[in-house]
Amino acid sequence: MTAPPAHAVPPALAAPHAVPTVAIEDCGIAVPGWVLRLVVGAVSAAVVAVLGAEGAPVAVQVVFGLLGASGAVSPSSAAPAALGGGAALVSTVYNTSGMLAPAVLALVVLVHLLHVSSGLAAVVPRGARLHLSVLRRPLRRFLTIQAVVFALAGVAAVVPAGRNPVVLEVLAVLGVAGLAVFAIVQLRRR
Amino acid sequence: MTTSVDLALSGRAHRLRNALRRRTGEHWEPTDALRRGLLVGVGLVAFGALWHRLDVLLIGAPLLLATLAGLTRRPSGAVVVRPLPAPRLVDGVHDRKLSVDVDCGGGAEVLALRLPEPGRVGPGLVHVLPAGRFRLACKRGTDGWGEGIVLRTDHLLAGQDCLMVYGPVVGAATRQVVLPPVDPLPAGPLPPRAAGLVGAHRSRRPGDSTELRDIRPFAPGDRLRKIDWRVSLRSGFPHSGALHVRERHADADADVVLALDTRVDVGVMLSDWASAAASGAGSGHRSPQASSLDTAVRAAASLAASYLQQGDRVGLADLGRPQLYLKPGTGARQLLRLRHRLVLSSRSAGWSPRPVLAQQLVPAGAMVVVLSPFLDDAVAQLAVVAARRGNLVVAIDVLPQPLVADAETPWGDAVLALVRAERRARLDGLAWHGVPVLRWTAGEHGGATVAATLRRLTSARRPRITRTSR
Repeated sequence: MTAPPAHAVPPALAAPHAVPTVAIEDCGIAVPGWVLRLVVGAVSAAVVAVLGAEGAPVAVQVVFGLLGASGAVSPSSAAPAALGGGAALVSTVYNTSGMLAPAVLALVVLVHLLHVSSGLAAVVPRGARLHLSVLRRPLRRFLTIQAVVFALAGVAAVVPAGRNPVVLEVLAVLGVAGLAVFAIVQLRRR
Repeated sequence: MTTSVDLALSGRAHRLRNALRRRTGEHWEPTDALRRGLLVGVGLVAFGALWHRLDVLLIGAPLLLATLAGLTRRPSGAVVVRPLPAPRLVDGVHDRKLSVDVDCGGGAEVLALRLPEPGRVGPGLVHVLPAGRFRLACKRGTDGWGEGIVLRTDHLLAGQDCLMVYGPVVGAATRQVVLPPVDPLPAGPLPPRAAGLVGAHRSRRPGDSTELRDIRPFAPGDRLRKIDWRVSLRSGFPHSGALHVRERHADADADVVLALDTRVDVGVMLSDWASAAASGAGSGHRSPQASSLDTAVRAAASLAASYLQQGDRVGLADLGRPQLYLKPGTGARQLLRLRHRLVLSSRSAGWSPRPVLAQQLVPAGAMVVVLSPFLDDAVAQLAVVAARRGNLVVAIDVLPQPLVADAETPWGDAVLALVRAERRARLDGLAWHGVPVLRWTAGEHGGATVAATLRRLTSARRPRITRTSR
């Protein structure tokens, strides 16, 4: 007699009494799924406002506003990527108040928030009920990453500016390339 | 012992299973968020490093860090989202518990699961919940009756920051038949017709009940204990008069045929009468809203329960589909059978343009209760024909009130007035032919008025003509 395959009886169902029972009414406050798209729109508007404060012309703001609206309507499109990446590059053109100016730090937060909220909005249907407890872990991770990046910014602020050694720059580029290779390997792994 | 052929077969089965899963979405795959994080994150960081732009590097760093964190903790393990077996047949609309076993495996963070929504017919809305391993308890969406899907566990899982998703997967559907509810009626709503010599009602025939029918001279065959000595002596017996006996009524049960008009199902909005949603055809649970068929079925179930409780025989005739006829019977099993048949009849509503009630379907002396919105002459004519055959016919009007005219057309009010006038003439015609017309209003105690009127009919020799407001 052969044993049943491992996938035939999932561990969760083999011992049903060990599984906690949760009533859907006890899952906490829920908001409609379209609220996430509203968040994407609000964050996009904030990005455009930051660019405007940095001195970007109205035409650029209109283009980025349209990208933001497209992202809110279709979060799984390329619009959030274009908005985030484009805002970072455009800010280099109009930023005259230093690399650690408040506008730059605001963009650090906003572009990350745009990325996270677009990702979530892309998988949540508009009419769904989003239980706010879902956001707990992403929020914690968001804050952790922001803390790391702001710590990096703090270190960069106190390090004296000047020309870096060539070896260090080559290592930095190799490091970025290594990260890209790591990501590709992870993606190809099944 | 495992042979190489077995191994080859199992390998092929494994590949086939994987291929099928891939097609149905039952596997983890990267999303646009992952591509965005990699492209924008790596691009901005590389740009910042090469062009010495710390601001660009800082803007791209969170995206790259979040993406790499998501890739290092990729979701794994088997995903199980399975509804627990629910009873196929539910007696009563209040038993609404359902459960789903969920095991999202490791690394999953978000679970989007379709669950029944209170007050909504069908599989319900998508709920976005934290992923995990638990048993989710929910309730059937509506307290309606009928046959339909009560739970379909469509689901989608997402990993960290929704960089990877599993699904969407169309889940297994759980179907249930919910029997129409029985609203308790006040006791004794029964006009009698003799069909046998036992039962709860007074028969026109002589019998052995306690109720006096007549006093008449003694005839051969009369039992001696029936002799009324006082009347006999008063009449001069034994000198000149004759012996007299007391004759009593027989007790009788009743045959009741509930004739359900399933050809139309309409609500209060005249604008919806022509749409497919209002026609009522097809499966699905019926929410307890004012629709004519819902009211008719609830009324039929309540009346049947009341009659059967008194030991009468109750049958069901579907005027739209005569083949769904249920012959009169007694007992609790007959009530269950009848409620089941009501679900079946309502599922095939709107099937026939003309009502049919064949003579052989109605036992001699049976009472016929016609439940219909009376929107055409055919059903009124059917009731009159049944009354002319000698049956006691009671018409129960189940059209929801008040009707609302179609506001989108200038003829809306005129159409409403026309419908009302036609119905008034039709119901007056029924009353003129000796068919009492009662109204069953939707609601928990909608049958109280009907029960009171039926009780009045119990004491009347002939049914009284009743006019109701319409």
